[in-house]
Amino acid sequence: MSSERRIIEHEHNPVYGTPPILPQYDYHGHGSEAGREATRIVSNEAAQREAAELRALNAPTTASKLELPRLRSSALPDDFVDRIDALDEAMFERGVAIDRDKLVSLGKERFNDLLEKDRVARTAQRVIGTTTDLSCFGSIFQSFFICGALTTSVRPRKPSEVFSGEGADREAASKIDGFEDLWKTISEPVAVRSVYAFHDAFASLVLGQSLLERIDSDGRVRSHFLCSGKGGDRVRCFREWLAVLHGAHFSVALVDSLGALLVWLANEKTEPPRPLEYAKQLFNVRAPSAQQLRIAEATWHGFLLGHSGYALWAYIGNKTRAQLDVNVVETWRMQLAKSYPAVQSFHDELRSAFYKPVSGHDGGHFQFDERWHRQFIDMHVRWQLNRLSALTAIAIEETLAQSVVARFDDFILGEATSKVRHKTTLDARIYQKLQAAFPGSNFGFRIEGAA
Amino acid sequence: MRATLVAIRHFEIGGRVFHHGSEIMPDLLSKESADKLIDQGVLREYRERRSLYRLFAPFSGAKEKESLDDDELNKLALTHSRRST
Repeated sequence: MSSERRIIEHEHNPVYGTPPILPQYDYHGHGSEAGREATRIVSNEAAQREAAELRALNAPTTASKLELPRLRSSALPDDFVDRIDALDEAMFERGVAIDRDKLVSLGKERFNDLLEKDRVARTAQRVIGTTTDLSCFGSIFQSFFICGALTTSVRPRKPSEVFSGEGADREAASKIDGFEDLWKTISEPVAVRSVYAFHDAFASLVLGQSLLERIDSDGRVRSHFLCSGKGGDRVRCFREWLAVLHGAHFSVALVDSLGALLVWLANEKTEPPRPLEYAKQLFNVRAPSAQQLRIAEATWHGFLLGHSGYALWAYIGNKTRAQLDVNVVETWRMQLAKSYPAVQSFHDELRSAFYKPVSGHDGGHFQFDERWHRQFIDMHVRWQLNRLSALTAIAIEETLAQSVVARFDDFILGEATSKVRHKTTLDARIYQKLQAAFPGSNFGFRIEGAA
Repeated sequence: MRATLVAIRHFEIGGRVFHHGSEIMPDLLSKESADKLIDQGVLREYRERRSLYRLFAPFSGAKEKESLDDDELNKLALTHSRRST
């Protein structure tokens, strides 16, 4: 058959203009050069139109990056950041005065204590062998693994749950990635306790030794860690070495600053539970133990931070190293949610800001971004706690000039610069500063030592 | 990593009692004495276990020193890193 070409008559369209002339192909699919070019142009246009339609269909409702929710902000002076930067630099220059002899003496005592803890841990011979390095998590993990002691109480995730996307929080909660997760094992509680006792003593001694190595010729330790507004285990370790400070010092400790901050952020009007009363109520006892008090406090903080289910279980476990029943923990959370509705609605609103649109075969849906949500809360809380500590440090500095030598998120250390005591003035000024910056807040603090 | 001397049996040296698994202070025994006790099966040398005495030499009084890992120092010791407000 001859390659017959039929030219289609085109009408001029006022909107789209005259369409290109489309060639008619023969049965072998061959066309002329001009026809192929016209086809290519049309195909490109069609592809571009289709891509534009798809983009319009899948256009995110928000910007590609999630818009951060705006939380209640503290009222701080404009030059606050400059002032605290200057104070931190001044603190670094001042340093913390350390008594070297006391430090060495206490270090020796604690080293012997570490050896004793090592000996006790090695009595659990079924798990901890002579080759086990108790200071190294890899070695501990291997020892526990070899004797099958890494079993956790968390039910493993079934393949059906993986396919349906369920149980991801449970799987995350069951992971053992470091010393802080070892409490999750259920087979060898005695070995776990002794490993933790050793690890705590080891961590404290590492900090003590770094203090000794950093003493300058004037007997003072200078480190930016001491003026960083940080919190966590290292600060706890530092507080264990306060006995080696040289000269008279005082401290201002913010009491339950995390709880008070989150209550203020959520604008909760109901009075927060007193730790002792809350522990009594949770465990139905008259005199709660130290561990019960810790569990009660961790439950309250976990609720305030918006944890639930296995995430709350893991949070309480990490803080207290206690294995609780996840259903009991969830019941406690629900009771708190009923008693503190503003906190609950604060988290509900916050969660709603972290649903991001995702496209799918069904036309797309919204998916909760758990990781970003948690990062946002943690970051914001750390940032606010840092400001709180900075504000307290400024109040101390204004009352007792050039006295602050170390600042952490809930603990500020000062050096007594005169024999005159200003405890009452200091108390009033800190309160006034905190109220001005966080109106209606209920931050508690405790002044100890030679202020 | 240098080897760490570990007691395998319960025994006493110079008035100090060592239990199964306890580390022997690096400078406590001469090389000959250590070799003899290793041959007798009283001690054993482990390269996979760090010496606490060497790690905390300023507090343990050991002459030899061993440094902590960078990760441990970053996590547990004083640092220069700083977070701004």
